[in-house]
Amino acid sequence: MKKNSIKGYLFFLPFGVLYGLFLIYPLINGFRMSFFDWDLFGEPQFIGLQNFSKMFNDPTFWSSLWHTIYFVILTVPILVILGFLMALLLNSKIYMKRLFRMLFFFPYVLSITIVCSIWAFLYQPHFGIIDKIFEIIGINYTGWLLDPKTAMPAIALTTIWWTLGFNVILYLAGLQEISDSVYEAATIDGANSFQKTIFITIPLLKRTHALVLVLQTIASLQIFGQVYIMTGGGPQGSTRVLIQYIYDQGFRYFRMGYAQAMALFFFAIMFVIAFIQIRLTLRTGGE
Amino acid sequence: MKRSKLLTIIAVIIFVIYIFPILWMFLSAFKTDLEIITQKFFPSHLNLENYSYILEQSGILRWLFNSAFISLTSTLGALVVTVFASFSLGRLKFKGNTVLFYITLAGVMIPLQAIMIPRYLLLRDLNLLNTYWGLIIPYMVNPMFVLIVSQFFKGIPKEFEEAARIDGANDFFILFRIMVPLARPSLIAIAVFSFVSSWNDFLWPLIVMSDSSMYTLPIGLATFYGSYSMKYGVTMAGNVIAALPIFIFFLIFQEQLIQGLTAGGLKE
Repeated sequence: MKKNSIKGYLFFLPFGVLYGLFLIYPLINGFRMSFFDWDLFGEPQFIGLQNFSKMFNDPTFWSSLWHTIYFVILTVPILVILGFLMALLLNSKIYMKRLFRMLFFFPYVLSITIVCSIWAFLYQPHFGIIDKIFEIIGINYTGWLLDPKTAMPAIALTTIWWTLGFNVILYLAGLQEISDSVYEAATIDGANSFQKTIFITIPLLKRTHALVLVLQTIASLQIFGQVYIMTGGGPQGSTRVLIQYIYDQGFRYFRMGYAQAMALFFFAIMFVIAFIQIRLTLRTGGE
Repeated sequence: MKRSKLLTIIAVIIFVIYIFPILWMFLSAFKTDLEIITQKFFPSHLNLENYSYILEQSGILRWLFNSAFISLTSTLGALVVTVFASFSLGRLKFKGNTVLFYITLAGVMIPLQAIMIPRYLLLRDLNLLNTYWGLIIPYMVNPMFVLIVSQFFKGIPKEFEEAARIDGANDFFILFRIMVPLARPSLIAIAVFSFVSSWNDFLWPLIVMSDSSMYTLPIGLATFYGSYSMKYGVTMAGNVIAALPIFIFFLIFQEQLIQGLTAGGLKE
C-alpha cells in the first residue's frame, strides 16, 4: 500500500513539478504582487489594497473592460449561430462534403499574424478590396480600422472569419451523435426538414450549444493579439481591451502590482466561466 | 442516398466568399506595388520579387526554424510528461490519487493571461528569458492533456494489465507496451493540438523573446510587418511562406487535430 503511494507520486512528479512551478507558483505570487507597488527594478512597496482601489477608479480600466465585453457581444452570438448553420449545411446531403469541411476549418490553424495582416490589407483605405466591394453597392466609406466606430466591428469580423471553423467542428461532432432513427420517425409523422431542425436538432444539441457558447465566451474574453497587431488599441483607444491594458501597464510602463491587480480581476471573471465549462465537459466524460 | 445539387451550390458560393481572403493573399504575393494600388485582380506575371525581398530583408527563415524547433521539442516534452502523469491518475490506485486529479482539474481554470506577469518574473529569475527553454518548458504543462489521456487510460480493460502482470511485467512495460499503444489516437490528437498551439502562440513569445533572432514566426512577422506596413506584396509573400508549413501539416493531420479539439473542448 505504501509502496504504491510512492509509485503514484513518482509517475505524477515530472508533470507535478512543472505544474507547481509554472502554474501554481505564479498564481500565488500574482496574488501577493497585487498588494505591492513595484516598477520591476526597485524594491517592492507594500501598499495594501491601493492597486484595487486605483483600478476601480481608473476610467481606462473600465473602458478596456467595456471594449472586451463589446467584442464578446459582437463575436459570440454570431460565431455560435453561424457555426450551427454552417454545420447543418456541411452535415446535409451535399457533394464533396469532406473537402468543404476541411476548407472551412483551415483558417483556424493559420497564425494570428497571417490572419490579421491579410485583413488589415483588405481593410486598407483606398486600395483595400473591402472599400471596392462597398463602392460597387454604392457606399463610399474608407478607413475601417481608422474610425473608432468601425474599428472594433472590423476586428470582430476578422475574428469570426478566423475561428468559425472551430465551432463548426464542435457542432458537426454533436450532429453526428443524433441517431438517424429519430429523423426517420419524424419523417413518417410527416415533418418537413425545417420542422425537424427546429423540433429535433436544436433541442437535442442542447449540450453542444452550451459548450460552444461557453468556450466561445472564454476565447473572446481573451482577445489581445488581433488588437495588438491590427490597431495597437487605437484609434483613440477605441479597441484597447483588458489584456492589452494589463500588458501595457506591466510590460511597457512596468507597473507590475497594478497590472497584476487587473489580471486577478480578469482571473475572477474567467474562473466562473471555466467552472461552468468543466461541469459541461466532465459530464460527457471528457471524450 | 440522394444528394442535393442546390445545397451543394449554396455551399460552393459560401466557400468561395469564405476562402477569398486566402486567395487574395496568394494573388497579392505576386503583385507589384503598382498593381496593388491600382487594385488589379490578377498579377500581370509570376513576379517573385516580393518573395526574394522578404527572404533577404527579414529573419523569416530563422523564425521558421525557431518555431519548428520550439513546437517540436515542447510537443515531445508534453507527451512524455502527460503520459506519466496520466498513468498515475488513470491507472494507479494510491492514497492521494483523487486529490491529484482535482489539483490537475483546477489547473484548467487558470487563464495564462492572468499569470503572465508573475510567470515572466519567474523566467527572469531562472535566467530563461530570451531562450528556447523559456517557451518550451511552459508549453509542456497542460492540465487538459492529462485529463484527456488519463480518461483514456481509465477506459482500457483491466484484463490487459492483469495478464501482463502475471507474466511478470513491471509498470514501465505496462505503460509503454500496453497503455500507450492502446491510447494512441488520444496521444496523437493532443500532440497535434500541442504542436499547432505552440506554433501559433502569440502572447507568450511576445513576452519572453526580446532578441529578434529568437522570435518565433508570428512575432517576427508581426514586428517586420509593423515597420514595413505599406509593403503589402511583401507582407503577403511572407504570409504565404509562413502558411505553407502549417498548411502541409494540416493536410496530413487534420483528422487528429479535429479529434483533439472535440475531446475536452480545447480552444485557444
